[in-house]
Amino acid sequence: MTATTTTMTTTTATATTATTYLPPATAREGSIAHWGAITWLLAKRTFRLRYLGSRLGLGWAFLQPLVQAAVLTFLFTKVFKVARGPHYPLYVLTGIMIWQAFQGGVNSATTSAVDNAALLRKIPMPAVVFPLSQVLSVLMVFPMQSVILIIGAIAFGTLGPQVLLLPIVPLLVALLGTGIGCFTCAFHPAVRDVKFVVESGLLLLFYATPILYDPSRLPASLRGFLAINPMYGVVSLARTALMQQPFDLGATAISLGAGAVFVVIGLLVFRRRSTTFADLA
Amino acid sequence: MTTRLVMTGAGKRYPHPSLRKRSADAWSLKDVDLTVDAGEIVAVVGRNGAGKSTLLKLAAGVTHPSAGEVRRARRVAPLIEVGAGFHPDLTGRENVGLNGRLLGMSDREVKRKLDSIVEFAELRAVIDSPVKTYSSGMFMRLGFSVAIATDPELLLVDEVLAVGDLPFQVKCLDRIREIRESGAGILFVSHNLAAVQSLSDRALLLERGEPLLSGGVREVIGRYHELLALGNRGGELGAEAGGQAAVQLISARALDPDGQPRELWDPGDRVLVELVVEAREDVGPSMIGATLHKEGGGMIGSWLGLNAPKIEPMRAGERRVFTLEVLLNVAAGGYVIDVGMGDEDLSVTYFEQPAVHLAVSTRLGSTGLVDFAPVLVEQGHG
Repeated sequence: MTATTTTMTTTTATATTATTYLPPATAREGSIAHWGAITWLLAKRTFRLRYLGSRLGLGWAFLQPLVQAAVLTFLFTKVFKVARGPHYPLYVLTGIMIWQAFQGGVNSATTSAVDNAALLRKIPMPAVVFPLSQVLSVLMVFPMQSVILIIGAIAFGTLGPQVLLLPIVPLLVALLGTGIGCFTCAFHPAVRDVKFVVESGLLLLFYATPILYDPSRLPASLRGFLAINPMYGVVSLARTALMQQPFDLGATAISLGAGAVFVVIGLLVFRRRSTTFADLA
Repeated sequence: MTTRLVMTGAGKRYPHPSLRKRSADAWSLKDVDLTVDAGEIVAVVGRNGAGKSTLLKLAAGVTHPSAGEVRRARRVAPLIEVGAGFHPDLTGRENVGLNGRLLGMSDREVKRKLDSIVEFAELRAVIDSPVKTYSSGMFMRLGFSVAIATDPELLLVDEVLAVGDLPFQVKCLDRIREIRESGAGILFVSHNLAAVQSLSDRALLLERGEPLLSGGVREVIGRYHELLALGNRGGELGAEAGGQAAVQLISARALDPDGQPRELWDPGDRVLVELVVEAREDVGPSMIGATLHKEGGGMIGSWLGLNAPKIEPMRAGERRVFTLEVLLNVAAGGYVIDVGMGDEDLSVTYFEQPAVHLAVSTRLGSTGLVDFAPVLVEQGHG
């Protein structure tokens, strides 16, 4: 205990004698590859946890949208008789699957910082891994769901070479989901109302997007809104790929452009605001 | 000398939760200058709310300083809320994988160290069960084991001795010393003054977010004891007991049989507790009592002075000094002696409050609750 009697060196003295450069404590260490791998790990974990413990497991990823599409088809073709066309079940299933991925990604990305507060308060890390991994995890089911959609397209006889466009669909969902999800996640720790705003906003956007209905049956006065709805291009592209709908280049371009802009804005805003997450979450 | 952590005028002010205007005392931590060099263990002591956790968070870099600057070595292992962030539904193995990666280990490193992590945590049998089936001790052992497996340059330890049972604690302390030998700087926060005393090279005392004293461990612990004895609101003892009490405790200190103040005691020591009381009004004959508690824990013994001489009536404004001799037959740890005073038939209690805080050292090898004073009396060939 003799060493304990030495008095504490003053900071100024030590700072000048220190030969090693010390980075600020809040600087994030680790390569992009390291945190990218962690994002992937977190996405896999989220994906696994979603179905962990249920008997049917991954089966729910197919069954849920199928049941929903079946109910909606019955409702709109047999009860209200507003939907037409022999392909309506495939039409609505395509829309539902894409919408659920987008909605699930945005919702869980929004709350992801608060959901992982225990880690953020303890381990220095870039918080952006949380919203990114949430969006990634909802997209993991897409390749498997595509199989169902393609089987549907074969069954309805609408499969063609356009199906090669299908892989662009999850890319667009990823861009839009990441951009919007990071943006909303950036504000959620400070303003918890954001969660409800997002949920309500998504409900509105669901009906503003032709998921259940045919856009050509919209009154002309409302059709203009479709052009500024980035989700329209996504579902429209999926239906081009699977149902031989004419390719709407304009709508797809709007989705892609909006997605790219959202990602940039979302990440920039996130980087600015995430510095206070450990204090707020 | 390589430096592992430098804080320069570091401070933290948390935004007020209700978004009201910021008041001057919203600072959780202020004006901290602190360095931790390689191979050094620096302890931070202070009462609850003194800013110790905030200091650790600033050092970890999970929170940004509102003032000043915090710089540190790249590889940090925060032993803060160990196990926090484990997912209850995932197995121990899966949680180690993710946690290790988050703490900066590469995939290969995690795989290579997994066995030794599990070994250290003593959880081989259950490592493939979901951690929700673990006891809280197992949970913390696993968290601790992952964090210290990272070969950190800077180790941040919050209440290390809260982890697991005694043999595991000893193992942790050994491991912490090993990490120090390997050249890491260690910053450690504890209420366990015996641990602070035996581990640290230097110490920093925080009080209400501000550094009160930094320097040698004995000096800092001594000052901390004075602070604890002064009661919770600062100022003189008895101030918080209400100005109305007829008799108030003015000061209290712990002295050894030679009448000298001491910071660290051994099991079996005799302690003189010197109390100064002042009567605020005339009182009749009164009685005195004392209680021994484990720091932050339960009562060990209580004594009501039925065998003590009656305390003569006191006049208003009169001061008296009482000295209680206490036998400290307790094991290593932090202890508090509460003293109380009341009137003869115990219908009125004048005061009853913590008087002295005692740190009992581990150096005689006595741990647990009481010191049962074993003596090796014979040694022969059977």
